[in-house]
Amino acid sequence: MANKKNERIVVFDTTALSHFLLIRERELAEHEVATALVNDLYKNNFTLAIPAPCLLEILAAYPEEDRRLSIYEKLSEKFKIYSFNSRAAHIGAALLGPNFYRDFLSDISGEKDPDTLIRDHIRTDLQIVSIAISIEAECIYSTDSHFPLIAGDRIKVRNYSGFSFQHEIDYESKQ
Amino acid sequence: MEESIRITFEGNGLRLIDFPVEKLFDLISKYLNIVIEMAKTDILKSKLTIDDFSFASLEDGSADSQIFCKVPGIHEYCWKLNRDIANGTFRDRSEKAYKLFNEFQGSLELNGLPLCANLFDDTGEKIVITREKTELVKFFFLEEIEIYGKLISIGGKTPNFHLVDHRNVEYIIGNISESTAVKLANRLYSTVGVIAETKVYLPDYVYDTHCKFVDLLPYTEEGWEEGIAELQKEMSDYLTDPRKIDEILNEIRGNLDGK
Repeated sequence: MANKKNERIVVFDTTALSHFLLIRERELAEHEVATALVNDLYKNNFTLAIPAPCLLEILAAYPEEDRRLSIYEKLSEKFKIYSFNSRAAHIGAALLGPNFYRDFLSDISGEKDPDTLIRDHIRTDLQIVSIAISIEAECIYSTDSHFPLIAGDRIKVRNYSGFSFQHEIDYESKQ
Repeated sequence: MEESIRITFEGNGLRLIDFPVEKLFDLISKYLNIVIEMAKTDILKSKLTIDDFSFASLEDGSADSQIFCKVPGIHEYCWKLNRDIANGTFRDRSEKAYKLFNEFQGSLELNGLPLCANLFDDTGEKIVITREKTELVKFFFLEEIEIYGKLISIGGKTPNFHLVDHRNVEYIIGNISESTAVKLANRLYSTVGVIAETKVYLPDYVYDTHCKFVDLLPYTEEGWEEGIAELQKEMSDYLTDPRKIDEILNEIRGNLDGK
């Protein structure tokens, strides 16, 4: 992997990343699709970035501290991890547009008064999209229907589930 | 040593790899028109033309440009002029130059998204010019950021190193110890990750490319496949929750708010 030329970055949301990193009987099909996608991305000089909110969600699935630390160590060696900083916050606020936050939540969720779970979900998604834009990532891979609505035309969101990625991904390099 | 005038362009959410060379040339030409106009009226008293300037490696995706000029003293003149632009004092000296500046400022966009132009003064301080603001802004704050990039050079009496990130932005990172420099020197031309302290310029949250080293991140591209296989095994073995990932995530998101 060393000395890649014309490197480009893509962001995986928590579900996409989990599908790639977890090998479990009940989600083997998703794992295979995610693995094929990652292999193809690497062949084409893409690297994967993890926004810090995704890192939190992954680590939160491991309540035992020693296991969590061990996983964090390995994740930070293999993935570029980006925090939610002031630039991302600025971008996130701009994504809300002229709306108040509650209107934004209603627009994205399609519900007049979304419950706490949906609010948390959208808040996390907003942070992930903001980080992806702030690092000028090529696109976000996600199966979450909120992402395209949040991202608008600021960054591409690609649904990777069950797709034939050879046709889906625009790999032509302009470099 | 040959000196150059540096001008860089940035924009939130812009893919600089798509920055067309024609646009870059247009912006630089507009900036040089200000220099040429000011030089007519200023102490230089020189009849400069655009042909007196040359550019280093102008190509698609290059948003960091070095401009060379064979006229003696023009570099120092530009640095001082940039300082005057930042302070707004050049406007009183030439109405035409001010109009040219407005033209330059109005062109700071790419595909409908705003661009920032970064000029540099005689002290090396960055001067950020945005499209929206007629008053130039120099406000900044300090922030620690992650930078991942190819290590292209390291060394010096007071050591620093240069990282080029995936957007082709070159960061110069100083404040490192000799022992860190030696450690990093072994990783020349590979991708490294660091935490660095940098100035963030408002209102467009543009990062200064001159940063202070804070810490080295563990990121490495060596042995990626083997490392990933080990990580996958560990994560799968340690995860005892039998539910599907989406269900676990919903649980985590709910619990974050104490539900």
